[in-house]
Amino acid sequence: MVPYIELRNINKRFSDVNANDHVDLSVNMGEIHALLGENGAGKSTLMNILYGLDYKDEGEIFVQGQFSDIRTPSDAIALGIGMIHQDFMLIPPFTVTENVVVGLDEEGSSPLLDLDKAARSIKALSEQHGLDVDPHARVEHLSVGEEQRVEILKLLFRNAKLLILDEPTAVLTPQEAEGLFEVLRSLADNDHTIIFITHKLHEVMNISDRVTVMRDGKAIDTLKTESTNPRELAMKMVGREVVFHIDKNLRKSGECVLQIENLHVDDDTGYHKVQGVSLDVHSGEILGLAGVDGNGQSELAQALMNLRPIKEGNIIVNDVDVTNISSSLHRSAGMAYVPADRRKVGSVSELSVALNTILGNINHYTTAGNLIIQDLQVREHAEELVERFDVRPRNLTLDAGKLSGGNLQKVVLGREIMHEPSLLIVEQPSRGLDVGATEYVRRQLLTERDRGTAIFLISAELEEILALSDRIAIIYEGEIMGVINSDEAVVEAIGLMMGGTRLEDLPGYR
Amino acid sequence: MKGFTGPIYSYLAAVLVSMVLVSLLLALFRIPIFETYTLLITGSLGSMTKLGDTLMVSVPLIIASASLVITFKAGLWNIGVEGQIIAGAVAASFIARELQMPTQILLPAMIGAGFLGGAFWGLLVGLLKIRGGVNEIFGGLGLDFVATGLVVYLVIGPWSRKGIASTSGTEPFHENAWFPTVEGFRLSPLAVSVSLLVVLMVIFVFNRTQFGLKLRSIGLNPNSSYRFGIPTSRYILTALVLGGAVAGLAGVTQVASIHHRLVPSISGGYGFLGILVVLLAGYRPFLVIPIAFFFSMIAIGSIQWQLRLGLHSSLGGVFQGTLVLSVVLISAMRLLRQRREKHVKTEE
Repeated sequence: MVPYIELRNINKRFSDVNANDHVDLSVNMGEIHALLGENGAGKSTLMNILYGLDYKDEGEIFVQGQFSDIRTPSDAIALGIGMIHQDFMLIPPFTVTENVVVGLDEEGSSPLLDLDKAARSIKALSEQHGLDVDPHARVEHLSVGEEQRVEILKLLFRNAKLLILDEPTAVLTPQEAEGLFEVLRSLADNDHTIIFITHKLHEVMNISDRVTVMRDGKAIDTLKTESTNPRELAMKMVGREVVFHIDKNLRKSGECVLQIENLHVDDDTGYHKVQGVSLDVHSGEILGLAGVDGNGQSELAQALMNLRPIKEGNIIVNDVDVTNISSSLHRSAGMAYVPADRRKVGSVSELSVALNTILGNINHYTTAGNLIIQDLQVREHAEELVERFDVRPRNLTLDAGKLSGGNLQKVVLGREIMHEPSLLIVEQPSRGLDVGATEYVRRQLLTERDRGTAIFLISAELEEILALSDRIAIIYEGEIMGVINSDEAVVEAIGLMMGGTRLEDLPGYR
Repeated sequence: MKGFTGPIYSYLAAVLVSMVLVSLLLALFRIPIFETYTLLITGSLGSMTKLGDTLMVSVPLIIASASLVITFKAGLWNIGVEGQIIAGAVAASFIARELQMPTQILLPAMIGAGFLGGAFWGLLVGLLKIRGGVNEIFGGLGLDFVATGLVVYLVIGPWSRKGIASTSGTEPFHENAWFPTVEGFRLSPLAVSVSLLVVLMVIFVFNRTQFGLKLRSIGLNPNSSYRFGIPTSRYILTALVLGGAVAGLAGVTQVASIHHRLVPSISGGYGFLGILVVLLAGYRPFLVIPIAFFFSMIAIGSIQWQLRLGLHSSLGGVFQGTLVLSVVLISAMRLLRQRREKHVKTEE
């Protein structure tokens, strides 16, 4: 049988990174094929090539045995390929129908819009596949799960036969994810082919027929799901036996550094995102905040740094109330922050590496009443940072934006650490980093902890939380479900709490 | 990028606020306030002739604003409309000067030429953006200057009046090239019809066609539009060409219905004034008509200020500017209040 999609020898380089290193992949019609790998393994790049968002340097694509040169998304759509991206690509002010219809291929179809007719077929289509969506609703009023169903409808409406889903469950609750899986199974039964990008082993075991594991841009192996197990997959994914606890020294935690009392914060649209969070972080410990992305973590971090108005509650650092102090005073209060978006928030891409190492502390390197930057001092400081944190290349005048993700993160993290803060707030420290950089960043965090810094770690990667934290707090819809010691942590229990069960309601809770 | 979307009363409130502000200014110079406003009304609507003049001025403004709606909805800050109006006027003038034809043929030919001339100028902006990566703001502004230079060159150079090298304009066109007017008025029903047709076309395109929906989607989110498979570059180019073509029609009405010849200031500043109209209309094409009409009332009525009160005519511009600022102010206040109400709701 000819595979539905066959990628042969795909190669793609981005500046110094070989994102796809001669990858082969073949997917059969009607199967759910999982593409498993860590962040940065090259899964998304491979699928972007198949969808025409990136163009391959080398290699060939065959769709149903036909050689296909896919250069733009339009080409892919014409071949029946559809992709749902990690961040949804809907237009909020449009209705569901308008979102589904826009971008439909014009050829053959009338240039005039018939939205009523389209709405009727969307309704029929959504009932046929068990996707419960009102065609007349405005997308801005929908929940995340509903938005995803609109994305699926959009593809089905265009007769997509191959659906690519990039980490579709990252923004879903466990229940919504189960609902999605049912839809996908029913689609596969109706001759649709599905490629499912994920780094979660249990999803692979739950939903896929076959799985291809990627690591460092290479396709390592393709296996039948029924004849493998999570342990084998994890080993192939990471390249070695996975140890969930990296060696870490015994905790020597001391006095309370950060105290959050009954914090309430809204997001930009006025939605009540953080609802009465109280937490404390002690010196020499890492407190991990676990939770599905979008449950108030970002708003909490931003509120801590006074980047978002606080409606109620207090933040106390080293016995000083910092709830509403200007962010220029955070450093002197002993606070440091590594934001989730290192490119747009944590650094200034157009400035040199050297200047990025003094951001937030520029006055320390100026003279003549803060008018003139002292280049020599800046260079000394930058050289020290680049050396100590092994930033590559060792080029201080390079635009920071040209650094790879891992090296940029070293600059951002190094800048914060070199200030010797007593409190370090870190958001998604290894998101998008390769294995080496991830491990490096994590070790640095542990070193800081051993030095006595209080670290508040916010991460959507449960594995990261488990590997680093001394205590783990679980957040769900802006409320803390419970705080547990990591040596007593059970993944299943954390999973339940991430889905909204409180610690005291857990089965078997003492 | 969003225009001001507010209910009608917020516009009325803005008119009141700007009237109060302008009154303060008038009081400062001891100018009779009531008389000033009465003159504005009587000067623009007081007789059929004056109403006709006001309508006449509103025609190119409505057309220029309709052109801007097309590009603004596609997310393009098109400030090249001035140049496109000029290009349309130059093209129509060329036909009017070169073709000796009966008026039934000449006028459609001028309209067609103006359409193409504006489209060409819009195409240049689009190509600069898509092929050269030049932002439409800079491309459009640059081409505005080029167009102005071109028209001055034509007026004092190849198309100058015999024996006179003057910037006051070319020889008037033959009457066959004039839009027909109603007896006793300067207003041409043809020009009014063109402006209304253009607005209806824009409404139709954005509400009822695939093309319009795609343009709106590109305007709201170009990135995801590309991922839907919409060839965004081609659509942006089409929007700029179509916007230019429509702006060219404004140029045609300027030469064929108002000046009857080519003058250096042929664009009348409508390309810029239109930006204010479109922002006030919140990109809603049907609102363009009353807002443009109101702006024309100020433009025509303020002529009387100069004649009767000895005020400088630029006071009309001050009033228009104050009006825009008042709308901005009131819409900002409304948004703030909404946000506060939302907060109260979530707390309940």
